[in-house]
Amino acid sequence: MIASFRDLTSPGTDDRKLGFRVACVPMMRLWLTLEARPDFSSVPFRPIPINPENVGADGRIFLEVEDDGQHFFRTKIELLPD
Amino acid sequence: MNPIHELGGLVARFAAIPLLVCVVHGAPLVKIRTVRVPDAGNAADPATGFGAVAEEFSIGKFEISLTEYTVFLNTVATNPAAPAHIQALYHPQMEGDTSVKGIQRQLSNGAYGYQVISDGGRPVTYVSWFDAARFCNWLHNGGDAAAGTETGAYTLSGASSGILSKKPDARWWIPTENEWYKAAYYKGGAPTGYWTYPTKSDTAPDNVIDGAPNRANFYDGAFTVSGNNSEANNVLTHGGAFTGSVGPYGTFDQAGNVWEWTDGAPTTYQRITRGGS
Repeated sequence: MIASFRDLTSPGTDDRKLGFRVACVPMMRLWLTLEARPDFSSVPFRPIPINPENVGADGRIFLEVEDDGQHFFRTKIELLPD
Repeated sequence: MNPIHELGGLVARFAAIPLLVCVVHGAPLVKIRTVRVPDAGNAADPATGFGAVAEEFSIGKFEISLTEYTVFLNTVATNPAAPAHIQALYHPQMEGDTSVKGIQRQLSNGAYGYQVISDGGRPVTYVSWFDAARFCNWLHNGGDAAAGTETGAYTLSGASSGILSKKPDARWWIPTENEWYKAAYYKGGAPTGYWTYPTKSDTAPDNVIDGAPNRANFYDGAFTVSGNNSEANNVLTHGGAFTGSVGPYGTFDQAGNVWEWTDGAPTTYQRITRGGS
């Protein structure tokens, strides 16, 4: 039986088998919305979540946009709270 | 209402381009998957006093993997003449300890190169707190070939000892003990508000590896992986291998696998680790 993990802590030193995970600023969920011009009735729509790893140190965002070869798109970015 | 940010007047015409990739800055070389931990301002666990976090944050879904750490090494630690704190990012036991190996380092044409041994989805080990802090700085600075390791989330400037605090504007950091604890145990509400185990359970997990709930990799008279200490079969498990044992906010392996650094500092030369067994 394993002891309660909640009470299980250990002071770390560098000679042990230690790993880690990272924390970061709250993940922003940005959705890239692709809107077709009015003369196109069928619009491919694919929201793209933007995670912190897509955001550079300067705050710029890396986006990857796929095109179907048939439409013109207008880009809009929405910042949603969750 | 959700704030909407329009790229002023930007109309993209992609008709003749099969695939457009917009990269305005060197893209990060690793993709750290994170989960969001809301419920800001939650109360501490009355049983332990830990877990209260004032602000919302995100935390790694998995422990940092061998593959992710190897990318880091191949980006920042290839120069054999680099200072000692950079050389120390690679520990010889990452290859030499057969129970957790690893990462292999080779010198070729005057530069170090690093390779994952076997399954790169297992967590990296033999990482010091300062190695982890440098990894966070690297992510903070963009996680690309130009990103530095000495400033950013932490001002290290070559340090490999002492107790340093993260900067207020840190983008990536080693979790505080309370952040780590909340991500592992918090369930909200009454009566306790906290699970006993990070597998969303108040009963002890089993260490059998399968997709059932409440499983974890820990030693319970026998290892989860009955390791023969070969390269392909040691005591660590692939991140998220216990698919039915997700934590309350979506993390995996906060119970078992490896001990994880936090920034809890019980003395002037130690940091608290959690999650091991």
